[in-house]
Amino acid sequence: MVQGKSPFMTMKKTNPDFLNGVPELLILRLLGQKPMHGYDLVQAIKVSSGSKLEFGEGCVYPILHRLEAQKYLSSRRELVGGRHRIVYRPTKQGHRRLVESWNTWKQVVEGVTTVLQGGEHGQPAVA
Amino acid sequence: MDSRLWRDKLRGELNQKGLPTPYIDRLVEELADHALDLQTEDTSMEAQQAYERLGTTEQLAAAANQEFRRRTFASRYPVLTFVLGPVAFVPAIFIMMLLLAFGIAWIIGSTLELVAGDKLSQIPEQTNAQLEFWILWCFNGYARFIPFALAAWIFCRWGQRTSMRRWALVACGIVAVMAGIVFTKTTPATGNSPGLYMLGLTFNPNLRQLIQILVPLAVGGWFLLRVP
Repeated sequence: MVQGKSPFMTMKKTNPDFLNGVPELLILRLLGQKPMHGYDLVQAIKVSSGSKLEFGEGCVYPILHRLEAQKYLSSRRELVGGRHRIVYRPTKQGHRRLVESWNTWKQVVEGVTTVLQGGEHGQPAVA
Repeated sequence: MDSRLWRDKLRGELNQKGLPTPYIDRLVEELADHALDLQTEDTSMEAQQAYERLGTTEQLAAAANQEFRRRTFASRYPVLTFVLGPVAFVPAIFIMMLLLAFGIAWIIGSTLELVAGDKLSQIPEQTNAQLEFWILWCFNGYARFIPFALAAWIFCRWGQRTSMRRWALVACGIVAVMAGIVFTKTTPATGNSPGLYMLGLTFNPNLRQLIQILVPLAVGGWFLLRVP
């Protein structure tokens, strides 16, 4: 589901507003591949997006906390690199949410692509 | 900016948003860890730069506030919670509170009968009538004010925990309207006829019902203005 405007994506004005809901999708996807703490997750987003997504790194934490409160993620304090860190991993519900969000995202992309392609090849309306 | 100063500033901003302390503690701890990670990875990075990478304290507080609101049922469905919620909840709590009062009265009565036995029947009739009058008077006050004040308090607490104080005030308004239509009438027992207690719903503006309306509003106002 595409959700309300997220501060995650409003840190920089380079990303359009229709990217709302994407942070959640990216977080669930990346944590599904490997449990991580916040810092690692931010690095993973940067690396996997080819540094195309820019945001205030701190804004990932409120989203993590919300996803945890909604039971999409679970967290545990673990010793990572000699320091106690809060490591996040998706729950079963989180995996289901990822599938839903992914499908929604595909539909959005498909819809936008159709509109853009139609706009390019369509005939202008005559009043 | 010094790391402690930055933390204090962020804490202040988060507190201003009305977020709960355990949430703030955890967020600040994780952000501080993140800044430390940034500096560990790039040893030439100043603390100031690390904090800039996290975002400004205003941005972080806004993000935290928005995400915190989105995670609760109340923030996802505010109308359902704070508008329709009181309509369903107030009658339920009213009935529960009355049942509770009857239950307590029954326990007290049964205990007295067990303990005092025949001595109860020896109480003079006038004292008995006076006692009945005061019990009825207390019950009347309890039924007219306590369930509504409690309902308003519950919605205010809910609003406070979810940083939705204005919605909580709306809920208090609805509770107040419901409180205002509750009507009671007490007729004390006389020598010839037993006492009578009537409880119903009507809108008959008078001072008593105005006070009934004011109590939930006062609870809401107190929460809005006084409770941090």
